[in-house]
Amino acid sequence: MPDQLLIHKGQAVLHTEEGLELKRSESQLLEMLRDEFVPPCQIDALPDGVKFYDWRPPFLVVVHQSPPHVRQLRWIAADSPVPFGEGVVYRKVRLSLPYAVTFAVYEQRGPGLYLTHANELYFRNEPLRSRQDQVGYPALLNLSQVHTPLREKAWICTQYLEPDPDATWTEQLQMLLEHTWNGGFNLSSENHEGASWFGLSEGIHPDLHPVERWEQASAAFDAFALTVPWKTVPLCVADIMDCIFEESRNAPGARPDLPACFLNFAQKG
Amino acid sequence: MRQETLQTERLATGPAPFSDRFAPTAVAPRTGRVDVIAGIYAHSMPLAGMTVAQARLELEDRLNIAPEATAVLDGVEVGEEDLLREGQVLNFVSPAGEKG
Repeated sequence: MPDQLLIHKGQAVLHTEEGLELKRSESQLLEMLRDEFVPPCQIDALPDGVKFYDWRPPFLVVVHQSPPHVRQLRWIAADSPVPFGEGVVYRKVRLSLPYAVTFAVYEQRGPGLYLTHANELYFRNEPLRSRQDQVGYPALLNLSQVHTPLREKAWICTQYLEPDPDATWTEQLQMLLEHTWNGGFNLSSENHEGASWFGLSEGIHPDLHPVERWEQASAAFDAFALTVPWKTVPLCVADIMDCIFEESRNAPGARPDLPACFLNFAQKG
Repeated sequence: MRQETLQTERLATGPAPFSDRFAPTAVAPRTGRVDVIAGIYAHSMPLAGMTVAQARLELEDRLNIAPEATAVLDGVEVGEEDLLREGQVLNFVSPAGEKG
């Protein structure tokens, strides 16, 4: 007979197929379930711009939205002697940007949450209102096109993002955003992952490529970015979150069942 | 007589609380607000008329702004004595090396 979890008269009793019997109080079972459904980030206030989050232990996915604005970026110069790495020559560009939607992925290790290297960024011309909203691919260098069995994603390379083991999850989000926007934009994606979404977005608007045209369009109209028909991701925000969990090998179907969770919980304490 | 409020071709990145930007008045209300974007933070604050240095002092703790962060106003680097005007977007940009 498969494992059975019975709740009766304030007691949760697990009978395993090996004949083991484990008892805990119903309140302890509820405590276990709380840890399953409530992310371990309740002490900190949610940072500005966090629109959604989802916790499927041990992963937390946070969706952050930055408002549209004109921003200065460090962009590889046309005469840079190297395409990426040491020796790249950058110049400052002033670009109009739309809403930027970052998917930050954390993994719980011990009591802490740590940013993984599976973070993504997308564009959108309106603020997020629902998990059913779609997003667009971000026409930026260093946002790599990465194929997975489920989709094509816009991956942020965080190879050079120095982790700080003492940083809270909100501080890590700050570091990710600063790395994404303030780190130099170069041709690393083209050379390592095959393409960036800047290159792949060529042709979607006459004023986006080369970047000098984007600069000119931004100088003429601060909100230029909100007029660009970004390539649509054929998934909504909720779907992207599901894909991230599944790709993190923690899809709902792959999670241990409740008796197995209870067994783990009961054996710990 | 039809009254219209024309919106300037600028990004307004945060609503001014308790105001209606499309209210039928001949002159848009002045809010003195500047949009500040620094990492995870994006706030609309009454900073118009302050210098960048004064705004930095005001915000460094609240928005966790690194002392070495460069001030960028509407996408252009500015000095500490530059004055902030209503509707501008102030960015504090920390050096972040390069991306892989």
